[in-house]
Amino acid sequence: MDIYAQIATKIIEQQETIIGPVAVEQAKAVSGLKVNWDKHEVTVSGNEQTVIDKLVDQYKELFGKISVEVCKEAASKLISQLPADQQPSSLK
Amino acid sequence: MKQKATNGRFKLFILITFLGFTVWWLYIALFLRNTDHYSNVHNQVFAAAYGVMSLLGGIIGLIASKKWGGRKSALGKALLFFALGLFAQEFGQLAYSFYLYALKVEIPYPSIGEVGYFGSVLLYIYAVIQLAKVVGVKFSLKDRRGKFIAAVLPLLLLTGSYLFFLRDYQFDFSSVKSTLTVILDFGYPLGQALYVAVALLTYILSRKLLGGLMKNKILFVLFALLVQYIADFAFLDAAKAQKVFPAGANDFLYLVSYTVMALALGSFLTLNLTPSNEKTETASTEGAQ
Repeated sequence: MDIYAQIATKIIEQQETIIGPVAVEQAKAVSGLKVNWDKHEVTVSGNEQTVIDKLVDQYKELFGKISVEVCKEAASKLISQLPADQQPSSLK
Repeated sequence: MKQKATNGRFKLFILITFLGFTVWWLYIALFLRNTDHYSNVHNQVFAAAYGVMSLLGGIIGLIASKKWGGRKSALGKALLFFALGLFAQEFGQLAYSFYLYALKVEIPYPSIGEVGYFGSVLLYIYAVIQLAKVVGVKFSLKDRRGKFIAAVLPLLLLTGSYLFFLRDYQFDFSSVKSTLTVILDFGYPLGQALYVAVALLTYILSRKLLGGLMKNKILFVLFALLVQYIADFAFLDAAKAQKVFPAGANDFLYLVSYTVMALALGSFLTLNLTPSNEKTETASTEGAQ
């Protein structure tokens, strides 16, 4: 699984512990993100950074800045593996 | 659309039920005030029946909890335990009414009703802790100000509650019953102070970060807890002065608190979000204009 898909998976997992199945519903609504949560499979297509930003935005619409903090925390280890110019802006 | 209609119907049902009980209570308070509150059938039936609102709220809370993941998520757990708290309140109501109107005896203290009433305090404490997790209170606890508020606020409320209700308390550990009485005498005011303290903390510590569609729903639940606390506080105060009677002002306050909690939990039944692709389309259309 590529690193952006792993980031998306971590974010969805973390959000799921807070808001349950709504987290997966919201992820499925993000264009460029294909989610098969029964198999825990996530595929990111197109501009991967933008897709992650959209996913973060989707959760931000629910709880505001708190959702962004939760996403940052969930993805922090993976984000640090990416060079600065390849990091999604919402998670910097 | 369908969700909105369901939400509207549920709100209407709750409000009509509340209105019905309010008219009934006003009739009792205005026209039957000189009758014996314990033998009048209106007082008896009202006191036994208005708890149906907490039953309704509990059912709504269970449905909402399932939508948000039930025991598997923090929000699901919060809603589940608020619902269980409401069921526990109804259990307490029914138990007290059973003593008064079926057994025709004065309500003993402690009684089986305490399982419901004190149980609801514990359930609310757990529920509001889960809600604090949902709104990311831990992020605010990283700074000194957050830590200070988290330490001082509960301490202030617990001390205030102790001074108001328990300052001149006479301890009696001579029997199991009296020991249980001491535990409950402390447990009620301090437990209630604790759930309202965590609710206020949740509000204060999440104020800057909490936003989005869920903000008002969360604030509504915190407000409902505050109303519940006012009802609990007023009840303890009246009980201390021995001014509690069936269908009195305290029962009406509880009716209000159950109604507000039912509406607050019901607000979690719907969620109207725009999918991100639609948002992008809207944004690009707006951009083109």
